[in-house]
Amino acid sequence: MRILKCAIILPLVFMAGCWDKLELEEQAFAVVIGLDKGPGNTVEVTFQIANPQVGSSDIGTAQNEPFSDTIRFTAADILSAKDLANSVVTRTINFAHLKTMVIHEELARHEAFPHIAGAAIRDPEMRREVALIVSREKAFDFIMKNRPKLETRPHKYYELMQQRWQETGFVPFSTLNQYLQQQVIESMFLAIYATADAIQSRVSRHEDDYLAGQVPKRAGDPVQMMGAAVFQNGRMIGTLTGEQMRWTQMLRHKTNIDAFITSFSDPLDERAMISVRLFRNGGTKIRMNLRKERPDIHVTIPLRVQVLSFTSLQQYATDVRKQMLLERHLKEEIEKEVLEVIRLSQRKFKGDPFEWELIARKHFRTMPAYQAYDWAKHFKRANVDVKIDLRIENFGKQRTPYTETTRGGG
Amino acid sequence: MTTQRDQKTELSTLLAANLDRLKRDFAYPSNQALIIRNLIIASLKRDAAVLYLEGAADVEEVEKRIIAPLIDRSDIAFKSVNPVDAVRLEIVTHRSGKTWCTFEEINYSLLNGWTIVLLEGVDQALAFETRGFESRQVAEPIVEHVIRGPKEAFTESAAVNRSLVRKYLRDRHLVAETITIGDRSTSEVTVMYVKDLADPNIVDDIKRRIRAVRVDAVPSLPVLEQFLDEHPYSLVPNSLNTERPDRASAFLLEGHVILIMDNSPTALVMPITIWSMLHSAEDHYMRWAYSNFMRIIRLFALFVAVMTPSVYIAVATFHEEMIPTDLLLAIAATREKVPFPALLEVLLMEFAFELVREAAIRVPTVIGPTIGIVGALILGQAAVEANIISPILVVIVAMTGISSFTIPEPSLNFAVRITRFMLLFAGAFMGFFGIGLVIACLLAYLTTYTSFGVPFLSPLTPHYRSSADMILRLPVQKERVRPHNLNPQDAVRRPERIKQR
Amino acid sequence: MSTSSDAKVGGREFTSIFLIAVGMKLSDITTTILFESGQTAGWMIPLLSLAFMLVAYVVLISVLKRRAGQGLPEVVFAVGGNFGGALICFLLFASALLMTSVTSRGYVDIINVMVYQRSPLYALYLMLMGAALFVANRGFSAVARVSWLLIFLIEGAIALLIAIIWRDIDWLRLYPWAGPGVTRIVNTGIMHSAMFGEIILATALVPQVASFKAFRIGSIVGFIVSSLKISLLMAVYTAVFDYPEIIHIAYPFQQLTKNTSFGRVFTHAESIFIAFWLVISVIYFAFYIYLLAYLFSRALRMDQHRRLLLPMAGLVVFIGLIPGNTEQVRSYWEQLMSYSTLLYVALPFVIWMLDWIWRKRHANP
Repeated sequence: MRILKCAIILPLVFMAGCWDKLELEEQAFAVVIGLDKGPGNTVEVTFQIANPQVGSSDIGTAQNEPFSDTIRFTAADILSAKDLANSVVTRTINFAHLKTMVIHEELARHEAFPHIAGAAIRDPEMRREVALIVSREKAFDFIMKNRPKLETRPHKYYELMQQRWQETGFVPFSTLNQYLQQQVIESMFLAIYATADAIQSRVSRHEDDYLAGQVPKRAGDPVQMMGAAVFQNGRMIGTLTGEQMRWTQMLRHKTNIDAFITSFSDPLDERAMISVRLFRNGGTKIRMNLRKERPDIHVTIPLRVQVLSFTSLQQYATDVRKQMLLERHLKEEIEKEVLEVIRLSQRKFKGDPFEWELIARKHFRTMPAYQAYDWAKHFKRANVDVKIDLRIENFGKQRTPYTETTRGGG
Repeated sequence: MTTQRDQKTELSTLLAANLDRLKRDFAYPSNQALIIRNLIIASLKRDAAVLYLEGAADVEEVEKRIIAPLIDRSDIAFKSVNPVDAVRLEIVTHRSGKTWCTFEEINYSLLNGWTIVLLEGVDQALAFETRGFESRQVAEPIVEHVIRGPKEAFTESAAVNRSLVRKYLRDRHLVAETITIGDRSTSEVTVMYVKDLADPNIVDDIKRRIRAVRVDAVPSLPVLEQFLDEHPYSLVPNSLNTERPDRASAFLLEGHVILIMDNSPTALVMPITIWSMLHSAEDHYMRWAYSNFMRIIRLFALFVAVMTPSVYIAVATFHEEMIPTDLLLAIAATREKVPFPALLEVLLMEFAFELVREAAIRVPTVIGPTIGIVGALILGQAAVEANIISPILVVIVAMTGISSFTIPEPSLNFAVRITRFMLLFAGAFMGFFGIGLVIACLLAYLTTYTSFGVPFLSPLTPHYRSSADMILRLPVQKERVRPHNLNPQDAVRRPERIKQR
Repeated sequence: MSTSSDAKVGGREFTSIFLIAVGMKLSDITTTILFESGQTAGWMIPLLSLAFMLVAYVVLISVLKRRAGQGLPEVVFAVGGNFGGALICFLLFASALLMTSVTSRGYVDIINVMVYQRSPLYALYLMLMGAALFVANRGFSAVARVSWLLIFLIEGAIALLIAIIWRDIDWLRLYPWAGPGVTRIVNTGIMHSAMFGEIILATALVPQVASFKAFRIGSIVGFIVSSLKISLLMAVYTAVFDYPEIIHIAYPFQQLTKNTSFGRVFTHAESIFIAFWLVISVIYFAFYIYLLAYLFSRALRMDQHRRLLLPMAGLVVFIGLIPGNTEQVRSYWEQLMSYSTLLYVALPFVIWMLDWIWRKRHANP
């Protein structure tokens, strides 16, 4: 009897298909997707598919194959394009290792964009941690031009760049998750702004006062990522430069950026610049008084500073008065720049990219009360004042500039 | 013993008649085994015959201690009136002496190496225990090696084995009971346990089962083990074979029961739990940190041995997002040239590995090392280069194989190997879903499996108090309690508080 | 030594059954439904429901304490007579059956949507219930022992999950703390008390536990700790995903696991959590199938609840396949929750009254 039962069940097990089974080599892993505006209500979706046989393992190498395959399809949404791609591509396209989505600026500004992004998230293969990059030119061109010399495999570029985004703070760390979250609340979403066309390169003394495309570089890989694209209610409305982006991150109560290097003008010599490394010395404190019609917001950013280099070669390290002058000067400069960013968001963007609404929510007891308050409206008219708590920690490993010693020794 | 009613069973007083009967029973003279030495006991002035089986009795003992004293001429008067008593108590210098009255007993003892002395005019026979079967010397264990610790192993002689156990456990409560089984060829099974420790229910249960075995011959312990098996079709073993007397005595001290038989260089321990099979003898001979380190590695190896191929298949065919992208591309690259689907590849490789393993046991030691080299070469490098399998699979199968070698107990080893295949098919069928379901069922099965009434996974579940020795060990000073899952009568190894200076 | 399948279950094993059976609610559709009414204060609701249900539970325990060794069905038959007893048992059985069917259908939906999109629903369902049936067949002690075996692993996995996700947590997202308003929170809490309804159902199993004290401690500890766990996880969901996005996410626990990554290398570790979750859900449903068979057999005053296991499993699958899609499952769950709450809250009081009447009647000589 037992044997009979086994005899019936066992063949069933083998005959019934393993429905979700996929062989590894029959998959095409898309590492980047690009979205462009298509004619009518369609999107042009670009897939960049990694070729495993290039750059991976010595045994499986194929000599004459390219390291990736980039294809573009026009369809109603991302998932239909994925399906359509299988009319051309020999393997099933799999989003399991998709890490980045590149969106053309024109599409991001279009009103259809929230619908497209919202529709794509239903597919379980599409993950919420996919990074969003807004590109100045068409996404297809961006992906095609992105051929970093030191990375053969395309996914490596984005994987490594993710680390750099968190270190430098030039761009926000934007994921689809945050985009969807901030679509329905009052804050504004910031996305990475990048381009592969260096058309407007200019030179500024502040190394972060650029937008993507403006970074002054000569040779090297074509892609630049600098600055942020500002979204409100799911559509892009403007950009922030790298410098503005950094202060925006500092104004948030919680951020991944711990330290970055930036430069300020030298108080004692207008021709020179001082480069410092700024550390957050604790969380940014934000206090609000929402009772008035124009709410008061007091922001305190505690920072500590490592002075890295100053081309003026003044004796900041040894002279206490010059130190205090430097401290005061740095404080003023930073406050000025921060206030500039705040005014920009209040006046030009009319929205809150600093996630201050979370602090505002603390002042209300129930959700309906908060929603009746309408934070966006009140933010526009708020009085914001910024206080920087600055402390210079050290001056690097050189105590006095070299001119001092030659003058003394000569 | 069954009595056969076709012939007379009692001895007669005529020596010749008894001898005739015995010659018939043993097919003398065509069967050269029965040796008959006729002699005249000088001091009693009687005819006598000394019988023993060639190969079964120790000839030297027979000559020195039985025949020599019988032939000795001395004129000392005897105290006993009965000639049997005189021979037994006053003449023969052998250490043992019994009287039998029936032919069954005589046959049985002759077969077991005893020497029989028949006297004229007496209807009883004297029997002396002169067992002298050939057996190996006490040697090193073959399977259960230790680096530090005793290196004695059981041999095929039950007497030697019993003596070894007594050497390690000198407790007057250590009891050795003998039960005879087998209808045609009788064997003696020795049941050893510590009388004031072992749970009497368990001991009685075991003895009852042994007595219930009805078969014509039980040649050795592994066969007896299968007769006593409560769940013959199950993958999980019911009892444990150990070839080390120190391990056997450790089990005895916890309240287990061991069985010893002739022709088996092992002792059978029952009842057992999975922890008995995962602990090696060495765990208690090393210091705390070292033995815990070994245990952690062994436990880890157990999981690797059971789960690795199935997890690989599940991840490679159902859950590719789990593999880091670089590794994924590397695997995909090497797999592109391989013609087989992933499951077939794994099965091929596993099968080949099992082949090598079997061959390594059977191969004559002369060409033993060659197999290792040939196996590694063919299976590893050449197969990869011929694009039959992908290189990562060699790593996986090798790792699995090596991990399974760390399991100390051979039965558990087999159980693990077979379970591995079950999980492999479950993983290939439905990925982590299949694996998860099979694991849940497996755990449910294991927790309710009992070995002679003791749950297999106790004292972990159901929870009993135990010496702190189940998964990881505490230093010996802290091992105060015996595991309660065996329901020992005396549960404490050492008293509560000893004031230490 | 006692044989395994009929052995009484010890305190530790019993507690771990509850920790699993009730704690699993943090990983299924329960949480999303609570978020819809609770908004940012959703995490408070399990605590309120528990408090409410504990009142009923204490009442019931006071009745059971007087009759040591008897479980709920026995007590109900004793005080309610044959008809009353059978009626109550059947009511409990029906509500448990519907609950199990809807919940199991929810779980299979989760597997279908999040992990195995192409596998047909019935196949997943059959396999899951088949495994649960196998475990239940090995006896209640199998369920109990495996729970004890796995409980630390589970709690460890949840703690690990929270530790990994810590960076993304922003506790400010829990404000405004009163969500939709205090009255509405309390209302939702009360109306959804049935999510802890097992506390009443489980009293049927008193005879299977080693001692009444073990039962009491086990159930109380299990429920309180589970409710704290559910609360904590719901707070974490809100802190990671933020309201109102949390309402749009179908399965927050699985989504949370998708956000986990061990460093740069193992970026998508959710499959490991899915494997854990599956093993636990098999135990969870094994417990329920056993409970159903037990209640049914006691309602009919039979002793053969072992044979009822297979029909029970089949019945659960059959009913579970009735709803057409996931949204229907949700609405059925909501309705069921409201009705069951009435049943579970009212029942102990009814039993207490019947017991009081019985005592009065039997006290006078």
